[in-house]
Amino acid sequence: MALLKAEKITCILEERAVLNSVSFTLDEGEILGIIGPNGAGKTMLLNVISGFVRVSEGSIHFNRMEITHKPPYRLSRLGIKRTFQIPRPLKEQTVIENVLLAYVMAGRKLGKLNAVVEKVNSILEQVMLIDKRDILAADLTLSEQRRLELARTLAGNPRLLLLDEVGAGLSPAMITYIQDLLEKLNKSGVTIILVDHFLNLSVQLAHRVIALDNGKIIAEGLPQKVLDSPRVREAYLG
Amino acid sequence: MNVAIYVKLVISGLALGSFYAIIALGFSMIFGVTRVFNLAHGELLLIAGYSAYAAWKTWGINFWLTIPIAILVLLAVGIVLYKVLSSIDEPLELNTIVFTFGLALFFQNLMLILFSANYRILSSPQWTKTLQVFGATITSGSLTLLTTSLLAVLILYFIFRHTFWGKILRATIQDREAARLLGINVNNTVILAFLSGMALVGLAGPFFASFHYIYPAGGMEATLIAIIITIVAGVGHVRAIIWAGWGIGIVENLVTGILGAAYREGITAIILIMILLYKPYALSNSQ
Amino acid sequence: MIVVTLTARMQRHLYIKTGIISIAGIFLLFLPQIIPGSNYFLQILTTCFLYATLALSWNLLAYSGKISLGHAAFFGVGAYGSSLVALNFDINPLLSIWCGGCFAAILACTGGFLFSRLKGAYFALTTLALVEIPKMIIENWETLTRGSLGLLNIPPLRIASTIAQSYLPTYFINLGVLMLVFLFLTLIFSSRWGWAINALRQDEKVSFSLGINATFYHVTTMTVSGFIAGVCGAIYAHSVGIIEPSMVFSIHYSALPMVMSLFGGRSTIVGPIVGAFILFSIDQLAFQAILPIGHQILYGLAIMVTILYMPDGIMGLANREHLWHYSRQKK
Repeated sequence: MALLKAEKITCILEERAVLNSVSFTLDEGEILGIIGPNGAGKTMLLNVISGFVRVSEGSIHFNRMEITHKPPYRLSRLGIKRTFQIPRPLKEQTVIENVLLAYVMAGRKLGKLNAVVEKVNSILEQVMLIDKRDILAADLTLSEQRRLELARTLAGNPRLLLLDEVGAGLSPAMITYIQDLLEKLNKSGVTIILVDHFLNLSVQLAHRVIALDNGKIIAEGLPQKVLDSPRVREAYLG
Repeated sequence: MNVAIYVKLVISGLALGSFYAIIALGFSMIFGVTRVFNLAHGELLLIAGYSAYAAWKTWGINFWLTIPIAILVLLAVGIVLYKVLSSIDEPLELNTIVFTFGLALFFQNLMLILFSANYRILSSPQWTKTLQVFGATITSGSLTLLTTSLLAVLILYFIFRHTFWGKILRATIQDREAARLLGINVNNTVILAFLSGMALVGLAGPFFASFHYIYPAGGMEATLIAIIITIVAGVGHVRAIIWAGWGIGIVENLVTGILGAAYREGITAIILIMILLYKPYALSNSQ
Repeated sequence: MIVVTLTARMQRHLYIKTGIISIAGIFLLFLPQIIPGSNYFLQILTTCFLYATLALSWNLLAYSGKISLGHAAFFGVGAYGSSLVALNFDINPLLSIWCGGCFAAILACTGGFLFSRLKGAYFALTTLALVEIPKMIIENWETLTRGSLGLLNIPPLRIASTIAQSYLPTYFINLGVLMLVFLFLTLIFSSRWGWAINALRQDEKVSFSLGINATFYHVTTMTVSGFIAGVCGAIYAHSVGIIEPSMVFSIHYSALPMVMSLFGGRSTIVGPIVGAFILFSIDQLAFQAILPIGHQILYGLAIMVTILYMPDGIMGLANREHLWHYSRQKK
């Protein structure tokens, strides 16, 4: 069943079409990679799906419900959780407070406090931030901030995860670890969209890849096949 | 009310509007180069007004001679103010607006201490001569205000459009980094523009003191008007500023003439709120 | 309301804060018995309580990331609302002050709804202009408000057992309202609501992505803030007895709460109270004597000094642990 269905979304910013009639569907439980050169519109696509940027034309359906012009917080409550390309932790808060905030705001009934803390601790363990839990988020390294972003989305009970360059700037070992983590998540039923400029994760993880260039889809299909297509190579090499 | 009254209201509105245009030009130059929402702008105008008033009162000099004095005083204030403003930390927009709000409060009380809360006016006999236009009586004061303001605006327009410095200034206002890369000495341009803005306010001050009663708390409306005109016209667009100045001058005069003076400040405030709601972020070209 | 003070850090802060303030409150409650003679001192404290409450209301809005330059609007509407209700319907001032707060809350709610998408300096500018609108209406609605002549003979606040004509009822009421507002805000700040506005201040985009409804929280924060400021204005009106538009809508009631919060420390809940006590005492004990007119120059100076030299205010200077924590991590 299609969880997400985008039809001909066009997005015009400052008289330039940053997304031009992009259509695709995403099945529940799928991992979709979005690749493309700089400025191809990858992040814009995430912004549109998560409601941060309004589309000029076209429609988006999530779970058979029209979400085209819904505000971002509504989409977040529906379970569409995103990370940001440049990590944006709340810098005046500690690591655990950041994750707690996401947990509390996801709109669940909060039970016993201890249980909540345990749950959040386990999320921090998953992203290997448990040692840093009482440190101010401003003092984290880039790699740690990326993982904090991930932890925040996990705390929010995601149905569809939109990950923007979650692998960039991470060590190879960490990337492998994150891969395993995402695979596990996916097995538990979370659908994932990966924006992946450096092709860190999508080749191994994605079931399907979409290549964007100049706001248009130029190739779609199995990861290796898309990467081998001459148009994609051309776009990447300029 | 007959036509003559409207003609009078419109003409004195034009005079008032040209005067507002000068104040707004000062504001927009300072804002353009420093990105400071100077909420103490009206208080600076009052300082210029009060120094002209003090010079006139103590030495009994002619109105026109008070203008250079007011300009000098404001240049001195401007140098200090520039130093202080440039040492304010991020987030700049918010910190400077709070800072200049404090500055406005400081100036208001300073003027209260120096000149008391009494209403003062720099009375100049030559303003009261009258002449007839379309059956309406116009005072020579209105005409002087109109011509002086227009002259000042025209000179500035010429400097902006047709001199090298004007081009440099416009480039700096539009994109400071790009201007720096082009080899423009941005710091000097900024200081010069800042001081020119202060000098404009210095020019407006004596007129302000001569056409209105001035009192220490009377600056906020001028600030609001300067902000309105700057937002409507955009930064550094001299021609748009004078149109906007005339617009608001006429609106204010009609409001005062039809509804009464008690509505003026409120209407100004409503206009500002409407503009901010209709054109939010008109001035933040950084985003 | 679910209180979520999950981490040790927050829990400790909460206990320390509530503890200290409650002890201080109880002490202040019995102060008039301890020093019955010192009228002047108690009068200063009375006003301190009022300004501290006003500063707390400003700080609530600042905590959600919005700087208001127009709290005088709510102060003035509260003052007029309560006075008019008390005068026209012969209602006990102890009840009418809450009506005043409600009028201010209505204005704040409308403003919050209209201005919620404006940020930073632009929001500040609208609030600055907002003051003029109720002022204009009150000045011109002469049949109801007597216009710029102002209202006279506003009934004073009274508690049954105290003597009329004394400042003592006002002392206890101001103290009571301050404690009430403080405890309420402490609860709020550690609830889901408080977490939401805290996040909104730090990063609006992240807040969206976490599912926080910015408009809702901004409007409610502004409404509560306006309500508290309105109650302050109402109390002021009843304790002075005479009000006029230019008095209660004066720029000083926009500036005072801001100065006090910034000077005390805007990111803390105790900061505004500390700021109010320090600044108002300096004002009354030193500046008033030297400069009978224009003593409020102090507040202008305080804003400038705070912005230039101590962005986190007095509490920021005092809160060494936090700074130390920061520098240690950076090394």
